[in-house]
Amino acid sequence: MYTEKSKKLVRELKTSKWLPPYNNILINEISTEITELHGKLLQSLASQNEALTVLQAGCLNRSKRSVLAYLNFRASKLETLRVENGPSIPPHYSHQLSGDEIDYFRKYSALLQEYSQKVSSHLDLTTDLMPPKDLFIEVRVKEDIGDIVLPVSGQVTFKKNTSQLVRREEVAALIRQGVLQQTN
Amino acid sequence: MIKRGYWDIDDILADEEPIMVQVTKTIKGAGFLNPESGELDLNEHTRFTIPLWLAENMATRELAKIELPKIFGESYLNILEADPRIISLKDRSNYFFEVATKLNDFLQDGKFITPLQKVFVARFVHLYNEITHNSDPKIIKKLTELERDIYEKGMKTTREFFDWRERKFDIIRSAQHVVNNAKRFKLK
Amino acid sequence: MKIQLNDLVEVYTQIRQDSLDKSCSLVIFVGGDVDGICACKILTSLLHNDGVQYCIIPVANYTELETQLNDLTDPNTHNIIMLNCGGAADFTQLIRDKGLVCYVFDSQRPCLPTNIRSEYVRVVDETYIEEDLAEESDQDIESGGKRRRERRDPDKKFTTEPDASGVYFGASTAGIIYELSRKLNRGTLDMLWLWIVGLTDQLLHNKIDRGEYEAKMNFCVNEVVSNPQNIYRNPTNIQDTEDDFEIQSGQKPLNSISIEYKDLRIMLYRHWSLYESLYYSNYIASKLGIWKEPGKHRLNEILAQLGIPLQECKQQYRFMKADYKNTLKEKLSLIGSNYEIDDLFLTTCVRQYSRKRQYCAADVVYSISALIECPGILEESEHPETISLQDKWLGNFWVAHDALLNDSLLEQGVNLAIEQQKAIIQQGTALIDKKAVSPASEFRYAIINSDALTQTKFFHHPLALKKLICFIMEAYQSSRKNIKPKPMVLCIFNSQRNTYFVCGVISQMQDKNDFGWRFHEAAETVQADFRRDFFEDTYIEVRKEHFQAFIEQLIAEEI
Repeated sequence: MYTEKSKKLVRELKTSKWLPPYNNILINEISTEITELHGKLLQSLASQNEALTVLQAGCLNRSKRSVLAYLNFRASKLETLRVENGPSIPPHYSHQLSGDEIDYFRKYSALLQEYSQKVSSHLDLTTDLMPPKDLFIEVRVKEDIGDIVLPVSGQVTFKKNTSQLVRREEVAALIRQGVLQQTN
Repeated sequence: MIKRGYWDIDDILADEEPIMVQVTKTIKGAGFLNPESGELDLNEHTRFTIPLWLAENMATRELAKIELPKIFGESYLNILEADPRIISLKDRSNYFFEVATKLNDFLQDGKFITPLQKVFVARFVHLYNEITHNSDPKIIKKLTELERDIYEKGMKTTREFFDWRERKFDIIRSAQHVVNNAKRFKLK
Repeated sequence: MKIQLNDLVEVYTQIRQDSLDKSCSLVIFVGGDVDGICACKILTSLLHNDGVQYCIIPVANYTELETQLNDLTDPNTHNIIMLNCGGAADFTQLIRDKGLVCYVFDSQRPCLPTNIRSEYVRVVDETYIEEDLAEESDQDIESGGKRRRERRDPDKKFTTEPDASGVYFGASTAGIIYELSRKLNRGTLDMLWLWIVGLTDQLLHNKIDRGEYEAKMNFCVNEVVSNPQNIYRNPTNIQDTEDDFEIQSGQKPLNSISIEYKDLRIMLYRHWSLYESLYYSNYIASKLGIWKEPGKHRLNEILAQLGIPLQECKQQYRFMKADYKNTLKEKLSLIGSNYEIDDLFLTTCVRQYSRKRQYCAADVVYSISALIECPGILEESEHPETISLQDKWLGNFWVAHDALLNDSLLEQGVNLAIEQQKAIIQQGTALIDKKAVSPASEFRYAIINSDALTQTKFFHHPLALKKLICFIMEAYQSSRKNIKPKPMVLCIFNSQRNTYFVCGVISQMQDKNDFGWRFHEAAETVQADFRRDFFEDTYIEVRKEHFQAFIEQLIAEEI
């Protein structure tokens, strides 16, 4: 049955919390299958076997739809990642992506920055949209990242398992990356 | 044929539901659809299962006739109506309601859809109670994809509501992927 | 330099001034006990509202404190506050070199004289100036030969012995910080509650005696009654009268504090069943002698006389019938004298944490200290071996910190405390039964040689060990009424570190606990490998190989 492989491809997307590794092999197999099927389609069209043509066209379109949906799903996950996490891909994620996808991410990131610049030069469009209630927040340091230079506060040391009172706008990015955790 | 959400992964997967059909016209060379038979052609009166999308395809061209799956038949519907909340719909089909809706649109046969609507409403109410009273996450095992989605969104909304009530609405949350990957600390 | 309570506001203003325009000008070190955590919470809420940027670093012992002090590299840091740590060790050199000013709020007394004399270290004390001067001059004369500031071997002792007569505890740190907030007119209901919890912690861990507790409790009660937020929330029923025996188990307004003048002194009874709570409370268990059959019979007799069927007693207290609950206190006080249980009541406060649960101050203390003390409670789901013991302890610290005002975490703590108390009673009764407690001339001692039993894993933390000793002491005290109560020393073997952990507790008769110094001397005499850098002075850790010699020396010294 011609659409087994594409079914398997789409099913894969449900298996991991974020994305499974880019299955280049399977996609190549499916595209070979589609080409093959297309050849057979032309044959059956020539032999005026309507029903067969219709069925083959159906399988072909189905495979095509599966692959396209797979790629689209992954692309939209990348976009969400950029908005939530900032311009760098976390290392354990970059293993799951193909070279093209990493390229896509970079270009999207550049696009986003260009757009942000045009809207306003000192706004970061990807930050938290809720207006803050407080200038300072208390954060707990989850990972030891040592000294960080922040724009307003200057040099700050973050040691693991300590708790600090810091300015909200400077650490928002770090919180979203999971390095710090907001308490209270 | 209406294609609902071309890009939607769940729609694609719902379409893969196996449906029993009976072929009404012999199709030469279409034996690949039924690999177990080993034949080159698809003969009339063959009964076999194919995915929903293909079944709809064939039925519109009067190449085959769709048989309503058992799960929407009389006996199963009676079981469901008896107590809609306990039955594990996921065992029947992971996309129970979506398949039902598609078949209904296609077959234009309203008999099985009305009781299913009632079942859905009953399950939804039950789900809502579970969400707002923070109960056992094991019930997820009995839910179809749609219900699971509702459950997760419901839990998230409830949590946000409680946070709002306690004036914690300006807590910056870690990105979803961090939460997924975070090592979980559990109190023994 | 000593700082009085009156100067606290000045200190606070100074700290605020120093923090203007600087990122992290204040570092707070917190020792790992409930009182310290409460003080930390009160202080940080004050600082947060003033926009003073701070950094909280929890520390478990003096070695860690020194490491962290050494690691302070931020040029902006100007002030350090130490809560329930730092009083008994000498960091003046380090602090002066870094150009910092250190404020010490340590409830353990006395403080090291070098700390008191140094300009850079300011010790907060609630006693009067005249007394301190006298103390200081005495210490100068006595401890002249015993000062060992220069030697600082990392494995060995940290505290120099300022006063050979031993250590005792002053006012709770949480109380002092609450006083600060009150002087600033910014005391909230949460802060008041944290003070009450800190005070109760001192009582339950035998740091102060009943008399002091009652005196301080009076202040608390006045505060509770006059706090405007409390009055707003809880307009009626804040106060029972002195003779009111009714158990106020009905639901109170959320987050309000109510006073119970005669709360039962049995452990965690609100969260347990009455039977188990009576069985496992230190006081009842030791008076009745629960570990033997006649003891159990006596308990059943008491319950029968109370008129409560056994089945009711064994279910959760919350589900007991209201009639039984209402008459419980009255009947217990009447029956108690027959069984020598006459000290059943304590003045304490109760807070409604959520619509379902109320906790009294003692419950909170047990819960939080269980969260701190139980070592392996936090388990990473993937790789339990890779977290160091340090990380586990620190993880526990933050859970305990969050649990103070969070009732779901508090509930988990209560369950842990219940496990721990069961372990204490089991271990204690096992030791008594096996007659493993041997008498020396001035104290009793016992050695637990293997930590293979599941109970023993609870006792690796100093505070937990102390609780066990207190139970055993009470048990002995009640069974031999005529004999003067003796202090006790307990030693437990830690197979992971191959050391013996020793703790000494004094009886009610003595004022000051001088075990710290005695351990130190004994260990030095036999040239044992030991570590004595805990914040509380009464513990020592000795390497297994030298332990036998150490314990023999300790006993011999008595004679």
